[in-house]
Amino acid sequence: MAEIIAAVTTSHVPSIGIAMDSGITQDPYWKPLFDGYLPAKEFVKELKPDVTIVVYNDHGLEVFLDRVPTFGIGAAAQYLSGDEGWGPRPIPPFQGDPELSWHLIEHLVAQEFDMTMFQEMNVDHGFSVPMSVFFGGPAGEVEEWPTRVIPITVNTIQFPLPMAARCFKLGQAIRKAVDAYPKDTRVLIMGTGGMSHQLQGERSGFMQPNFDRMFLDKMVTDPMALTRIPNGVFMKEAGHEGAELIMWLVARGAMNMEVEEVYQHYHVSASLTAAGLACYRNK
Amino acid sequence: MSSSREKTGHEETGDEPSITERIEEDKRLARSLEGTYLFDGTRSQKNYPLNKMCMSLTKPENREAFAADEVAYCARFGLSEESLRLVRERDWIGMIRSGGNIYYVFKLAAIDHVSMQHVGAQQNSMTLEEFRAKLNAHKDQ
Repeated sequence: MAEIIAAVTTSHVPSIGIAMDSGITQDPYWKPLFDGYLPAKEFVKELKPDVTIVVYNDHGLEVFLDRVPTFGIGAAAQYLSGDEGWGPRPIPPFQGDPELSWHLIEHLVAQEFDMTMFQEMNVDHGFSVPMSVFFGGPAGEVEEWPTRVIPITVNTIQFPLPMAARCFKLGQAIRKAVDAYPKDTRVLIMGTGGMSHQLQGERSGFMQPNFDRMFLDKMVTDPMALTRIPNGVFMKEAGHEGAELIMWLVARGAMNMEVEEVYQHYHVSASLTAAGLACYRNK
Repeated sequence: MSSSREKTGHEETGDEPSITERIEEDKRLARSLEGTYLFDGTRSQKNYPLNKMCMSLTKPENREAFAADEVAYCARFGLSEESLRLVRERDWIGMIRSGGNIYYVFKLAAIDHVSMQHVGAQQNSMTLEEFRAKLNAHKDQ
């Protein structure tokens, strides 16, 4: 039987990818961030997931404003790093798992989550940066990805965004779907985005570590409290783009109510973002 | 409350805010944030051509065409005179105010190899150093 073996979460800004791809992770600006990732890489290495479900938002690679799926899921055999405007990242292709993707689609729709299905899709930094953070070597280097992947997209760009509670319930539905998959498959779920950041407007550069730390605490102790936060409040407390934190709640929803936080790292700042990362195991 | 509404099974109890009130409260809060431009449906319609032009820059051949003749390239997308000026001047805050979405607008910044921190600094009317200080102002919270 398939099983969700752990959840990991991390911020996903492009510049973290650029730092890895251009070999500057040991520069003074980046070193504290990348040193903080090392224990998380060890955790994921020991988990040996067969499949990693990556919950992220597309930032204008596959999705433009002409049609915006609130929730989407990939069902491709392969996903490539796409060109977001500054060329694709120099990383190997990601292998998909169409059989599990279609199982998830069937089981999510049967649980009233009407996913948009992508049979052809490339992935952007929101997906590839977290993958390099957790599965890459100390400097993010990867020869071949040690896990198959399934992308799940959440609209966090065009308001209204799905509510935090809905994202958590999507995670619960993913959990049920994985539990019902008959093949022995070890599944890691990854929630990405956040933490505090605002890129647009005169308020860009806003961050509030107090809010992020509260969020990190409640991910363990009281996730239901986080599901009651309206998106307007996320914007006020974590910035217009900080509402991406709802994607952490998808990953959290796929876990038991009781989890153990194996590792946490928090760093201010990377580009315009407060970079948070955490690893969770079921209790 | 009308009987037809009760028949839907979604009658309100009176204890909780209605859906309309919830949406309004969320938008009111988001719109009250100074220097923030809630990217809702209203804003998404404001400068669709600018966002569409920026989105097109995800293709290398389009980046080349843009670099060769910015005005002609932008004309293909029907940019207004004002938007053309904002693009020409790389006026990031102007683009955001006019309805540009930062994720699309940033693709234009990438053509010039301008970092998000530079875009942030310009939006704040700050030097890069001043903006970096803002980013780290609450580091020790």
